[in-house]
Amino acid sequence: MLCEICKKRPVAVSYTQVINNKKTQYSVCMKCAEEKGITNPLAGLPEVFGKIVANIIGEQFLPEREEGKKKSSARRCPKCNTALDKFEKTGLLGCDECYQAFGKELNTLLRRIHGSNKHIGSRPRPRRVVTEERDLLKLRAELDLAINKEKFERAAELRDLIRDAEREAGSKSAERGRKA
Amino acid sequence: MPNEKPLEFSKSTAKNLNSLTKRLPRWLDDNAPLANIVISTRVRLARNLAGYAFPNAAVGEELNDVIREVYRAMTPSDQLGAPIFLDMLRLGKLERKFLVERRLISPPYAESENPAMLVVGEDEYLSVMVNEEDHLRVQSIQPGLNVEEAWRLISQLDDELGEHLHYAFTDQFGYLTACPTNTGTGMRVSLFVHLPALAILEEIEKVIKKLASWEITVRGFYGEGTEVVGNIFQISNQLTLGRTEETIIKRMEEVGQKLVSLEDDARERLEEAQVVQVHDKVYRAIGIMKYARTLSSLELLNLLSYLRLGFDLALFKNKDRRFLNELMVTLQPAHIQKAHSEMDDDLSRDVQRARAVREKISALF
Repeated sequence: MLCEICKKRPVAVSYTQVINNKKTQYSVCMKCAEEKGITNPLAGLPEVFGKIVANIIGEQFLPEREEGKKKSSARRCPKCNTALDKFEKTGLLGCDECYQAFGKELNTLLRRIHGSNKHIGSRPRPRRVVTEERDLLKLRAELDLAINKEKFERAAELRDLIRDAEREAGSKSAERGRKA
Repeated sequence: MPNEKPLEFSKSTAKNLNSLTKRLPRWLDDNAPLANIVISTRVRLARNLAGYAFPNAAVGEELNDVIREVYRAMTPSDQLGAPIFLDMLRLGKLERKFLVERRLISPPYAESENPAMLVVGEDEYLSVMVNEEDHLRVQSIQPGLNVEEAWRLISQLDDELGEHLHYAFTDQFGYLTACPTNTGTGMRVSLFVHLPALAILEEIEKVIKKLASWEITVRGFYGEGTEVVGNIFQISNQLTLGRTEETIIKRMEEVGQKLVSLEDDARERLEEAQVVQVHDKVYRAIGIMKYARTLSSLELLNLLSYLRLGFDLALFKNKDRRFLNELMVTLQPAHIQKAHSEMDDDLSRDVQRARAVREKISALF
């Protein structure tokens, strides 16, 4: 039997890929197996979902698309200009505003994927508004350490950062001054 | 502020990559809970910055601006220690392949031509891909089954970054991600498990079916019957919205425990039914490793799987098995080529791989 990929060399490995409970069997030669990264089970990071979404969405919106094909393809996110039908193809949204622009479709889609459309997990930490002073102290301490350890390249980087931070802090306090 | 200034870290990229090639990641330790069967635990979080288009739709300087913001938020970072910064655009094919093998980047990230920055924490427990499918893919790896610890570390880093960065987040949908399969917590927990007995007994399929109701995805590969490749499977949570992080962590710990007990049970049955055959396979693997003159990475993975099983069945007096993980990582093609730049073809790498394995195994057995 010949390799399913190159169709030249004999089959050396047969393997079964299981993605979302869908099983596909492959029989390939050693070289193609190595090229596909089959030798490296550690490499396959979980990025295969995108392709599946397209299928789910395609199916989901099929009747709608038949009726109002023009309408669907004309819908775009006002911020990043991503079209709804492009999202249907790639499974990728273009920006955070897409979640609002395509809210109705996403509500249905998310419920279909996750069985839920409501986040109940953690929230981001409140951002530190007054960070400049603490950051500057930290940076200066790190700079001293870098100089002591004779890490001069890092010291130069830190010096630049401190200069930027000082400049930014200066312009912000000037702004605050103006507002007051 | 477009074109503010060149990326500060960029010029140290080559030097920083070389420092990575000269050390080993700490998650190779197998002195960890259930590390004989669960090789490692990974948690990753997908995050985006509000106000910037996601990487697939970004234009102009946007992605460089994202890099600048993230770099600023990380210098300094308590959680990352003294991190290494890599400008991905300064890295060639070989270096990128090395990073994939090292599990620091994903294959699509290695292919991408977008401006991108990889940040690697001091001991490689934590790393961040900037401008992958999302602006940030934060990753935490621990040896063995240790979802709690991986989560503790990544959650602290996430909090630290969140104090400086404005994450794209809404109350309704949680963390907003490019792909809706990650929306919500943006969290994916993956266990890398070695299941040789279940594979030999051809029970993997049954086990996967059993686990399907736990909202789990099984990725990676497995061969039929004895034609199994490496016997290592990647098990991840499938869903990210409408579940708390704690629920996902608890469930994945349970899945890990369950798999370990199913594999242990399969090993007992295997030893009862086919003790001679199994021991024969283990010792044949040692024989090949001691004498082979060429070894492909694929063959090595299969041999290591039997050797690992031999250790687990307590066939050897020697208990030091850390080298199993070490060989698995350091003898991958790009790792060999990074260490020996002249080995730019399969054959010379296969010869070098066999030589390294021979030396190690002959000293131990």
